[in-house]
Amino acid sequence: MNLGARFLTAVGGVNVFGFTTAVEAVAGDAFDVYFQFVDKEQHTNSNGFFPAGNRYMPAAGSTVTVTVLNLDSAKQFIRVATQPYVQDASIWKFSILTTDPVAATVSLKITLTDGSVVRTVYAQAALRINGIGETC
Amino acid sequence: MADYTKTLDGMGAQIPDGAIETSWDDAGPLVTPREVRSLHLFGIPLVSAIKNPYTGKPDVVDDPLLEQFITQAVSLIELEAGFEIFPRYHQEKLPYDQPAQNSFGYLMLRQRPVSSVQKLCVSSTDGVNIWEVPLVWIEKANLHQGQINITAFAIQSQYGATVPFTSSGLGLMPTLFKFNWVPALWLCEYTTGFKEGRIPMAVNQLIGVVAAMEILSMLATTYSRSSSSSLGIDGLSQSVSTPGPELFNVRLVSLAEKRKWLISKLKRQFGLGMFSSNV
Repeated sequence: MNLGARFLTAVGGVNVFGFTTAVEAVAGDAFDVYFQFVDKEQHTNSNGFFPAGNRYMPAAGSTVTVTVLNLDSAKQFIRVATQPYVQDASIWKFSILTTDPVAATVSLKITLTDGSVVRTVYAQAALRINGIGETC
Repeated sequence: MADYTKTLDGMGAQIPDGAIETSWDDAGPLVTPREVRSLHLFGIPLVSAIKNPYTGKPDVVDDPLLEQFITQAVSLIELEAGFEIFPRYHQEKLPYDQPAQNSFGYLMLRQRPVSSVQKLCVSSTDGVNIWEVPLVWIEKANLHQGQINITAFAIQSQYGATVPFTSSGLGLMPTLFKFNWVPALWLCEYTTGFKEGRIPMAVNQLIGVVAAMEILSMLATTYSRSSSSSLGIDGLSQSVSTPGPELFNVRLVSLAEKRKWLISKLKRQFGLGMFSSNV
């Protein structure tokens, strides 16, 4: 079991969503980030699955925290993710607020505590935040 | 993660150097798979020419796979061009060189582009920070190109530091400064790369180019079947030839030229370009 996470876009309900490799937003906006846990060892590309990975539903009572990473420890913060749809335990969501210090390219560390087992997913460049008139 | 409570930023942006404000959006997050498809692989179906023997269908380069090529391209560029794209916190020891010190503490950092300095101090071999240079003494005019100068025009005490040259309480320090050269005396902690992964458009272009080249050369291999065939019956004959694995050559050559051009321009921007000539 190799836990991964796949991000969702255009989420309209438990049966209405698309897949994306990164959530795009504009700086200063509040937005929700939806993701689905997947087992990367199942439904692989070589077996004809695009995208690869079978959805993984953690056990009831599992908890998920998302660390929004930043080189500056003062700008790094943790959010608790929740399950927006009880029918599909593989889908989780957390929110980014207008006041959160997120900018440009943001990586996430998602920690799933599934009973006594703790698993971590590192989602590189998972958030792409576009600014307006920014220099680098 | 690093502590940025004490930090000295460079002047303005790294590209274009020194820009402090703009209404033109010339930097942004890492290029996305969608952008690579439309800007660098427009019209090229990213589908293998060979069918997968298990599924009977050709494999495709989907967005997650493209995303992997993009992140790999970042590492390839950092290795090839010698500058860093994503922020990294560095610790570097530099020698004390008396002629350089007499030139207002001239120091040249190895990694580029430097975005900020967090600490510059005299450090012993066992890691004890003997004397920390106040960050306000560090000239940041050429920081992005890795150059530091110490210009202590104002004698002041900061973080409990005083000018060591006149202090009698620093033991070996005044003696060390009399040597022509002392290895690894300075310790500098600094950050390189583009702040928060806010990447200039030109660098994002380069990332897209490298990712596209990797994908096209991989796909071209799937076209490596016999590229010409002929059929003759009695007096009639027909021959057909296809480009085979050279199908994407035109695009690959143009991408390679662009890659070379972008790398040379960017290296020069960060003080990494070298040139030689006859005198």
